[in-house]
Amino acid sequence: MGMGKYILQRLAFTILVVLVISILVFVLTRVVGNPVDILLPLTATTEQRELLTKQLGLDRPMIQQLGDFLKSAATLDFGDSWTQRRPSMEVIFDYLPISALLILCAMAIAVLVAFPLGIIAAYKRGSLLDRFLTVLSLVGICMPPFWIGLMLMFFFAVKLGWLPTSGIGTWKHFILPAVTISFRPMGNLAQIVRYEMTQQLGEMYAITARAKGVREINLLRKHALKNIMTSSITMIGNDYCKQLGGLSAAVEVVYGFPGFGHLIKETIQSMDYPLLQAEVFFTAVIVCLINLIVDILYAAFDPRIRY
Amino acid sequence: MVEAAQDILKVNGLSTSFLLREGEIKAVDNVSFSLKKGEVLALVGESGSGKTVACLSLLRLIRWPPGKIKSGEVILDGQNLFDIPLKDMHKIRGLGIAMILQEPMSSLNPSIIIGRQIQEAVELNQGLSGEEAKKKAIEMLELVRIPSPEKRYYNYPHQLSGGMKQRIMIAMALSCKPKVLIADEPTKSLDVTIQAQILRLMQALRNDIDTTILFVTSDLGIVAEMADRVAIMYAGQVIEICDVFKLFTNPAHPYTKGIMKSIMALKTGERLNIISGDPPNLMALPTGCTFHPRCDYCQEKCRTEVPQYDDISGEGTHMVRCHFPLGVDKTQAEGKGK
Repeated sequence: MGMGKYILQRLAFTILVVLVISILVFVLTRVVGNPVDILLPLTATTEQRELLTKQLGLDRPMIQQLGDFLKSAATLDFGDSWTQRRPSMEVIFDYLPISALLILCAMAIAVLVAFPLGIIAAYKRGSLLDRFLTVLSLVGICMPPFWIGLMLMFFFAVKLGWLPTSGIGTWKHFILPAVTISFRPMGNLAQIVRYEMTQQLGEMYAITARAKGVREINLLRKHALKNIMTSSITMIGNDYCKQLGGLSAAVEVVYGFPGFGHLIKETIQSMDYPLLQAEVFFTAVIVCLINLIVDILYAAFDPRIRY
Repeated sequence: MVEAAQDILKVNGLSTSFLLREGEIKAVDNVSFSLKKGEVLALVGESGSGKTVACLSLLRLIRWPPGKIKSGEVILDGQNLFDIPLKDMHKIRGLGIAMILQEPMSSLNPSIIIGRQIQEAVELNQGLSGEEAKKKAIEMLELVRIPSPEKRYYNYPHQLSGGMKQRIMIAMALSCKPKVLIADEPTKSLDVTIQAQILRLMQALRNDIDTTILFVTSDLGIVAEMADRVAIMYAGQVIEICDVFKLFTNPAHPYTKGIMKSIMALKTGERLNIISGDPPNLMALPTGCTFHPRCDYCQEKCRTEVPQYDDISGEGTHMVRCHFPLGVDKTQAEGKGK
């Protein structure tokens, strides 16, 4: 099977996934509550409520609403956001790219730190340093991101005044949130790298390499590293999707960063159906695309995989 | 001693154990042997007798935990390898002692082209680099009779057959230009026709390159074809060491005689002789001589007293670890030894 055909197949699969998720969210949101209650003040009269229900089209049968939704979604038109009173697509494009970039920075930091640490831990396996790094990575995974955010903000923005406390504008505004978000993926990745590395060092080819005079550190760098890439990029892709899908919300709130996670949180609270549908749609598309990229990268690192 | 000076590799009292929660496994126990320059010594034994562990111990490639080299010395060209700091052992590996592993299927790095893997051995041990090293690597592929070596250079291991992978392993080990080459059952996992090809190749190479080889095998047919001398291992110990001719005509240890009989029977058409009983549990070795529960000649002394490693030839050419070696009047032999 050619690479082109494989990608086409996967894109078709993506459409299916997005369709199923969209329908699921459509049904679930309409089951859990009535947006009219949230949009109108408590003092609103029954007539006012009925009028708004009609305006929003919520009085029609659900299957009809779903049909309309799917029709317009096919042309990427999700309708106007009820809370922001402008097209949902416009709102998404205000919030999503900046978050995608922020999380990309966070993942880059995680990779740059986790790989060397994981490799050092594997090289010095069993030593005090190895144990220290393992505990450190666990701490990175376990610490609540909002707390890390507050601590970093306190030291680097408030005490030292090196970086802005919140908002966006310059590249400096990215540093603290990106570092904060990077903690969890960093810990995950460092552990994966360390574990996979130690596994690789017990393989037969590692004995072959040592037997011809390869130094241990070069065995890690030149031989084992390539063989742990598939599991590492799976992890990286997975963590990226999780963060973009809302995990970054707490951090974005702490830093007043107007990002996608922040937006998802607010949209769910306000039951803004059109906007929520658009958010779910784009999250699903991005998750599928990232998985596709990860799969394509597999072939680049493992010569045995061909599509 | 004049003879010792010619020994390129001398192993004295090597013991390697695996320390597990359940107890200690003495995989290699007080093993001694030596190799003269240009000689082929076969290390023979059933699986689990400690052959591979002994080889890996020579290179200090035993992984702690749970493996540990407990005592002994390995003297390569006058230098005791156990005196060298472990971090400097990479200088000895390859150039001093190279090794062909027994599993060609998993012994090559799956994500690196085979040419590069051979080239790495060339670069590390022959001081060549870049294009020169690459040319040498292709030459090595030619040497082990890989067809169209320039193309094969760019192949990944999964694109080659088992026999070809083993040739790559041989090419890689030879690229190190080692003083001593360890071949650990290089034909074990290959089918018979490929086995024959690999053996023929190794024999041809042996004549060409004049390397000292420690050839590990459990196949006595291969021993007869390849080796000058033979060391027989049982339960982690070398129990007999002699030249090939003597092994086939006049084995002194009952175990050796047992394995010889089990092949002779095939030729004469008699019933196949087998050694009764099972290989011993390395965690609970029998007292006295480790072979005594299976030995046809077992006496009271064998059950209680550990036999010494004795020279029965009087010239250091035939050593046996047995209280009552076959065809030898022990008291006379002891007298001779003194």
